[in-house]
Amino acid sequence: MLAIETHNLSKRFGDTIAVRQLELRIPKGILFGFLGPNGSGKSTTLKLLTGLLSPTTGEVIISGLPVSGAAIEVKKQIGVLPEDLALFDSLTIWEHLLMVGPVYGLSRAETERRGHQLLKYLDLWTERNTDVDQASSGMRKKCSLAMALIHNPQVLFLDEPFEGIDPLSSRRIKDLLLMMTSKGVTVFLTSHILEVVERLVHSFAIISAGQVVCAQTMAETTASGETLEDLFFRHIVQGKTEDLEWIA
Amino acid sequence: MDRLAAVIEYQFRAHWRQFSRAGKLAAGNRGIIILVTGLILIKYFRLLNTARIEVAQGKTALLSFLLAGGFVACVSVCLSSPRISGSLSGLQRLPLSISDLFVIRIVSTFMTPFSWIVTVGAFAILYPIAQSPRPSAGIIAALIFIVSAWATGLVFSNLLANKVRRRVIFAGLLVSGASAVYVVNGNHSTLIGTVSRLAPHVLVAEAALGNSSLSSIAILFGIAALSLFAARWSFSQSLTVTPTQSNNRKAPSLLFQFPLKWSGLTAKDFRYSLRLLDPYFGLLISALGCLYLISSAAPTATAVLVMILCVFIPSAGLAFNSFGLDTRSGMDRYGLLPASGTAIIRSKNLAFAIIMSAQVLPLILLSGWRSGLLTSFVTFVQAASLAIAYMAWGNWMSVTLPSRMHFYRFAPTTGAITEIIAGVTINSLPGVLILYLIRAYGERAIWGIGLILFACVLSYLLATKLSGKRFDMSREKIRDALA
Repeated sequence: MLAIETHNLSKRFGDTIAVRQLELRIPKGILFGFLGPNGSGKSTTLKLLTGLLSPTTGEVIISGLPVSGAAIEVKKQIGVLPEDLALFDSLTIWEHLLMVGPVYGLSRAETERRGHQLLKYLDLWTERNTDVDQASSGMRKKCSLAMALIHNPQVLFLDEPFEGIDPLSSRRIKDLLLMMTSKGVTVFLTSHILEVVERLVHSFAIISAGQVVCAQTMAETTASGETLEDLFFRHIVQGKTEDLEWIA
Repeated sequence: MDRLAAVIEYQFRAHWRQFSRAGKLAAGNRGIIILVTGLILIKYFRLLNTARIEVAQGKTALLSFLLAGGFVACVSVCLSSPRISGSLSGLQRLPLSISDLFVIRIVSTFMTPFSWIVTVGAFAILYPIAQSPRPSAGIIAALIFIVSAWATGLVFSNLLANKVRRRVIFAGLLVSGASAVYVVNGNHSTLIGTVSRLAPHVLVAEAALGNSSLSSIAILFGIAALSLFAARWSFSQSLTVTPTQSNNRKAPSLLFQFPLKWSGLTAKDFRYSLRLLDPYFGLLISALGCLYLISSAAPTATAVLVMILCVFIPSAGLAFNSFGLDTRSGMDRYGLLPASGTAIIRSKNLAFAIIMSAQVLPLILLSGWRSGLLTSFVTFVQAASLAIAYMAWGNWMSVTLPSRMHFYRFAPTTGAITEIIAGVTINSLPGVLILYLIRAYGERAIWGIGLILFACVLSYLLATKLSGKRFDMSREKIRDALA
């Protein structure tokens, strides 16, 4: 069964086409990496997949449900760590969890139990009463991740989950993602850290200028004798340092 | 100066770009805003002409009144604009001194059309003063007065950025209010006379009339210098807020404990609402009402009903722009939660209802104590009708004309002034009708009052349903409008 499907998915902002005719078929229970340089359309794609943006054309289907037609049902099944973290100013980390738990149908006691375990695991428990606008970027990201996990989602979307995270928490998040996929949860993540993605994902796609330029499994990449980095730079045009000769 | 000019230029561009980004959400209002502003300015200029005639005759009552109004307007400009248009933390990373940042802060206060109108109005006050017996002294005094008014606004605006200083300001205002009540009630006419003679607007009038012009100007100069120094000092203090002053809480707010699905969202909105300055005016009106009910020999039901009507007016900005305090990031969270637009709007309405209950409940209880249960019941129904009507209108406005609001500032009226005026007028109608029915028919009006409440509930249910659908469809537009 497919966890994430897109058909002819496009998004246009005025004259700019951010995502064009994207076709994705991601099976249940795998860890999928979505790679690309800045401005290539990764985050826009993630917003389209999670219903944060409505597509210009095409459709998104999550676990067999169309995002446009069954938005609330889909949102109950997904957990999202978005690019801007989607946090509210002036609420503490703990209050964020207490706020979202009941909205997902969890009882107060269950929300507290899961929240306590998640914050302990993410090494955030002692900082739980810090206002998020006073917290470090890593703490904010872990708070948003805990919010994405608290309702035990079946599909998890993570935008740059390892950026700004300390090595210990980063390791724990990786372990958690592997454990989740082994239990049938599908994880869709974007990241710039190719080494991490290479070791973590089952399959991946590289997007450039809104179009998928390469999509394959890690097994296929390994069999071809190439690294993920080789593949990435083969498909992405790089700037030249000679242009910056004025830098000392 | 070039680097400051560059920063200011791009601040200005960034400020105005937000309107073009917001799409057509407030496009239809600009002409009407100009019309309303024009009408207000015509009335103001007529008053200036009357003041000119009076000043020439040696009378300064109207001039003093206009100057006091100008002072309040200048302060409110600073309190309705963000500290620095754009990102303060971003600017702090640039090689700019505190003085540079202070200059940027002052200039950024003049970026909004509201500030331009107030500036024009403030300088127009020089016209009647120019006809006074001592025009040059009067004009110098008025110019110093305008500077001190802006500087005072900046002081308040800067101090409100800090939690401890905010509390000091509110405590200071409470003590000042209590002292004023004590002085007025205690018939301390000598003290009142001395204090009022030292008020800046009175000093300007004195200078213009030629009564001790030099000393008036000297005192005004002292006030302006002090307020400028305070503005510069408070600005530098507001920049040094560090994470060590972090806002660590001991426990989540009580509202988070409520066993409701949306109580967390309501708790969040309740906390946000407490950080807008507008509802505190409602609280002030409520406190005055309570004072009246306690001290009056025979309080009338009509007076209480009028007070309840007035309590709602300052909170219009909160009801009519309920997404205004949410950031783009917060709007994304709404988009991720498995909640319909209607549910999100209702959670906001509950927060508004709690805020308004805190304001009107003392009035309702005291009216029951002083005027009987029937009055108490009628005031309760009136307050409920008003709250429901405000929410019904506000829900629709919140999703059609959202604009960014800031913590510890007044709600701006960007792009929606006609809707706000119409909203306050139309939504006060249930309260006015109840007032009329009680005065005309007394106890027999109870069924009519019930009918009004029923009509308000119906309009609320309909408006909330439609607003919820609209929110679901245009959340991205609302998000952009709040940028």
